[in-house]
Amino acid sequence: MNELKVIILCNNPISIPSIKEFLFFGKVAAIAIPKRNKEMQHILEPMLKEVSVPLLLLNKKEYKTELSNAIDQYKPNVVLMMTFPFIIPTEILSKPEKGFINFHYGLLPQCQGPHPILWHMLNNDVEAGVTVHKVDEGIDTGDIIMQEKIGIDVKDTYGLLQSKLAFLAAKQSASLLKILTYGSIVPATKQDLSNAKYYEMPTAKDLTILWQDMKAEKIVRLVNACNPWNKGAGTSINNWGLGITEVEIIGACEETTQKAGFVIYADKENGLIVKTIDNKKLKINIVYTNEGFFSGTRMGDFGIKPADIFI
Amino acid sequence: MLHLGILMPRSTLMPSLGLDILNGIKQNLKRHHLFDDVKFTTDNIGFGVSEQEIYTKAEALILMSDVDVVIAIADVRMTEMLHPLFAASNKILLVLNFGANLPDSWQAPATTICHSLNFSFCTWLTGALAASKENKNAANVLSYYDAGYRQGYSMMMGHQHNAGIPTYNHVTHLKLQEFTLQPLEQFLQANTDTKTLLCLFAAEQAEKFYEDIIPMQQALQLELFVSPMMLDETLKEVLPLDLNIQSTQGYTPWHSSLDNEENVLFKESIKTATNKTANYFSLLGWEAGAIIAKMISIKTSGNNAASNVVIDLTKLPFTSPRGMFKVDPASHQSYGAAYLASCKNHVDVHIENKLENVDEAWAKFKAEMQVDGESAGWKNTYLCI
Repeated sequence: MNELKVIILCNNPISIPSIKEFLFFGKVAAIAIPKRNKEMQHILEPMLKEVSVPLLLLNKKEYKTELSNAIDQYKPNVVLMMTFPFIIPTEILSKPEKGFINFHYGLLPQCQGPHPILWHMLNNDVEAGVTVHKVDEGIDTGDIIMQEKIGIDVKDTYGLLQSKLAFLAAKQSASLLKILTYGSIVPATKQDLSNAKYYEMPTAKDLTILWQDMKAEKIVRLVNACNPWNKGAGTSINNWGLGITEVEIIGACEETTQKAGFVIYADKENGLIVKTIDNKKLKINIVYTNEGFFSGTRMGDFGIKPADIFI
Repeated sequence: MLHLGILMPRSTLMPSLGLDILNGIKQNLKRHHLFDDVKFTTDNIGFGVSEQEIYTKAEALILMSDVDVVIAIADVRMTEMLHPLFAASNKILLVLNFGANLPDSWQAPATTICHSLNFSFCTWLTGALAASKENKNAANVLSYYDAGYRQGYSMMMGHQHNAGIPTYNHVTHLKLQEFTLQPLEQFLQANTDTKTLLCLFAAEQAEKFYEDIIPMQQALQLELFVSPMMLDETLKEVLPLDLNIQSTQGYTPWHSSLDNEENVLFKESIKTATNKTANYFSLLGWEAGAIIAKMISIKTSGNNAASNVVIDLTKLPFTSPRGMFKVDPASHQSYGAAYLASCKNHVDVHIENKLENVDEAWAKFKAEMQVDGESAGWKNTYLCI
């Protein structure tokens, strides 16, 4: 049995449950984050102080040298990456005995890239998941050690799904820890890259409601996909740009001749209700504006009235 | 030639458990004239409680002995860490146990099949049966050991999801010398609206439970809903002949009295080969033998990718002494026939009827038995202590 020692590279709170799993078993030699990430620094510093594990702050310009030095100093058997934003040079990948292993918070090979959770939601996928894979020279192309899936619930926001995936990854961390500790090899299976698709960073258009194209369910999914990190899905009405943070479908429209985006109600009693392209009534519960978050029932106060059109 | 590695358990509670399973496998392979086509390599994993031992021995069977298939007689949750090893090695893992526990996730591992006697499924059905009675109140009565597996949770959920109301929980001590039903008796005397007991015991604790509950049952007109191990005929050998069990029923995956050709053949084969009566353990082995026989047939036809062999194994039902079993394509967990049995007098078990729509019940069971978050329980293979 190896005496397992890992360095963890991370950049997002989604990694915290997994980090706790490795910390609990005393297997962490050091944790490294980009220096600019003050949020993670704030979360990790007290946690690591308690267990006397160093937190390394990597500078974007010098991270290659800093990381290489850290591997020389702490001599980990393996380096784990959880949402780490910097590319690891090939010569560093082979330094730890068991290489680098990445936690990709999406399904591979069909959802490569830096924002898999968002793209699973925007693509209306039925399932999301976490893929734990070896790191090679490509991005998200290494051999898969394990993959677990979970269904995306219609009520899942980005934040809720992210939390579920964080805990799913923690469960996988427990299995990975056993494999790395007890096994003489790190078992992994080649990806079928013929099914691979790489998703870039989303553009503003990807996050905007297209009232004339999108059915009610698609709008709900888009709004949920933007909640909370983007504050909402973009839209505009009366030359006023705003974000829609929470919506629900409340039934079918009796009147079907009006254009999609048509405001059916905008009052305190009914709230803000809009017609969709598939003749559904969409109730807008929460709206984000530069002035703050407001309930749909208050949109009348901002001048939105029946027969206005969202575009 | 198929090279079969077997990770064998040890049990002081049921000393013949491992050997009976192995005999079941061998006799079914002999029946299919495939015994000489299989090379066996066995290793021992004790009570199945050491993850390190299970992992290193499974890895050694793959890397050093170059087996094609490993049968691990171990708990389903203790073998989840092995899935990547088997998938990456293009080898098949067949996990065998009694189904007293359930997986953390119903997701299908690519090259693993978990075959069991579905004890949790049966206790879930039994719990639902108890809830179907007019009086919805029930006391849960479990041994400390049995309560540490999901079969206990399954029984309670089967009851509570069908409007059953738990009125009392009684868990007996792990040590037999400290076994007592006194607090339960006091509760039942004071709360005469609870007449139903959901009971989960095995082996010597089941003996003790039956001995102690009978006078209470007669005095208080109790109805007992029991787990498969409490319908186990081997209890006959240890319980007093004048025992007078009444109003006791539960679901079981199998009973020796089942009237089907496969069961007759199974019982005869075990008796002839070992001079022993067929039991749950030999049944588990016999069914594993059926899976191995089918694997050989699939591999002979040229299909050698482990994941494809596993997919093929999910396509057809297997004939079994319990009627049939299938491998669920969505989870790679097997499930099969279940029988409502009544138990009278000296553990005289009588099959009352067969569960009609097994597929529908299994789907409902899976949906209800999705456990989110952390959970605790015994790690050792059920009955291996």
